[in-house]
Amino acid sequence: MKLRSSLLLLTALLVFTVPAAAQDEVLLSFTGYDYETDGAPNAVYLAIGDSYYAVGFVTSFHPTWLDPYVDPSVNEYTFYQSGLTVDSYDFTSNVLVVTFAPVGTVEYFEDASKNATNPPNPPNCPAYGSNPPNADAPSKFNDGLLAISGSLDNASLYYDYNADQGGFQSEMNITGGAYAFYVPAPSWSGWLMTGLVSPPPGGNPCPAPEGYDHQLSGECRHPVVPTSRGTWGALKKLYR
Amino acid sequence: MKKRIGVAGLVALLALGATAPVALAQCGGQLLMKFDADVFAYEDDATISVLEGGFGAWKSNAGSALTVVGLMTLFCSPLDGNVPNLPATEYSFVWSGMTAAAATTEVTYITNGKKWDTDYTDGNFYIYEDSPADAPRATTPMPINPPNGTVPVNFEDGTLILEGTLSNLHTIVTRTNNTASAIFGGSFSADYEFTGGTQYGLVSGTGVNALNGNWCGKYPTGCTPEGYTAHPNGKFDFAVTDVTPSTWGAIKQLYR
Repeated sequence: MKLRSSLLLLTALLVFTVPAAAQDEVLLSFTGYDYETDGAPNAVYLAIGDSYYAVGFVTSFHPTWLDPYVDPSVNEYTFYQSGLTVDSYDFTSNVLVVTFAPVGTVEYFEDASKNATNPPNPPNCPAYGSNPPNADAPSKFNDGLLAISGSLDNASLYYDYNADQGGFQSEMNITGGAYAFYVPAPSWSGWLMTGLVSPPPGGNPCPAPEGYDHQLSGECRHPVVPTSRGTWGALKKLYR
Repeated sequence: MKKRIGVAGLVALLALGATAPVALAQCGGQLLMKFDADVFAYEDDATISVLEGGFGAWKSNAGSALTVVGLMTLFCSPLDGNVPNLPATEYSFVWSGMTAAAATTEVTYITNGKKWDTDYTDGNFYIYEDSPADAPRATTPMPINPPNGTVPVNFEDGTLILEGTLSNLHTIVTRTNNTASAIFGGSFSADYEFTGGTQYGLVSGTGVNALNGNWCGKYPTGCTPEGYTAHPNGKFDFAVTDVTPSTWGAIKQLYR
């Protein structure tokens, strides 16, 4: 009976603490740069077999799941996206569309050394280096505490050279990390979405790092899984 | 951890002589202002695409008026004196005056997905500092079917710190296939130029710069609350014009 009561209470808490009117929420947002490495000698951007990477900084966090536990005054929060290899390629009407083979990874790090930020910044610039991979990237973006790791699946990228803009999108599922348990388990799956644009040559006060392909600005959205509405009577009936 | 800032944090800040906002660690490169989760767009004449797999995206009809409301999350030098500190102080913004230059185009994307493109006419942006914060946010949540009692009015109150022009706004929304498991993507790109506001002196003469980022248009669930057509997440860039190396002799010669 005591066990049943405990289960009842636990179930009730789980049911009534999750928002009934579910809406998607942003886990975190970020900016950065992407780059590719050739899988074979070729001069084609993101040809089949090429690998796609991104590094950068997290700019905001989910207000209740993550923000209470992070401290940008003490740490830098960086990300490193890797493991994606082009498995289909199309270039039609000046629009590039590629898809990636499963499975890639994205990792978010908390690092008190701030070696990617490279303070004082300004006047220093973030440690992207040139022509990645290099001595700075990705190594200064994937050190420190692994806060959240995720797998990337069904990833694709488009770039419209007519509009000089594009996007990267992928399913992202949380797989671990020190802060993962702050995120409710039903919301461990979601998307990673990024807007891509060609970086301008200038900067504020730092110029775009050489050898990277695009600037990134994006977010990882995680859906809040809808819950079923019920009554106390229906709930009690489960345990009778 | 943030809530555990104590003596050690204070000492560290004092040791650094830091008056800069905590968010400065996330600056660098072209970034001037960043906006994230709490930004939404709506239009007065848009229609839903065919709901393949139960999901679609909004398509603008020609002349559809676009409004974007949102909150800034990060300011970088020389605007880093502005520190968003919800719920005490918010930096809200509104984009207005833009209309769809033509109806949204729709083409096939990958094999059986869709790509929607929309161009907009020129408009304006306005950024306000307001305390206490009163604009609705994604988590409050956003009140449905704008314009309404708080959208856009609660985003355009307070002190107008910056305003300017917007031009060449182009949005793209994609979906990877025609099933319920399709993945949506999207982006936007525009140009902006500061023209006024109480902090205009910090950025006057910076010319035309880039405004760009992610543009999520998934409907009916995903990123668009009821009555909203898209969720932008992006940044105002601030590119310093390249300098040309020269000599004192050459400079003197200009004045001889």
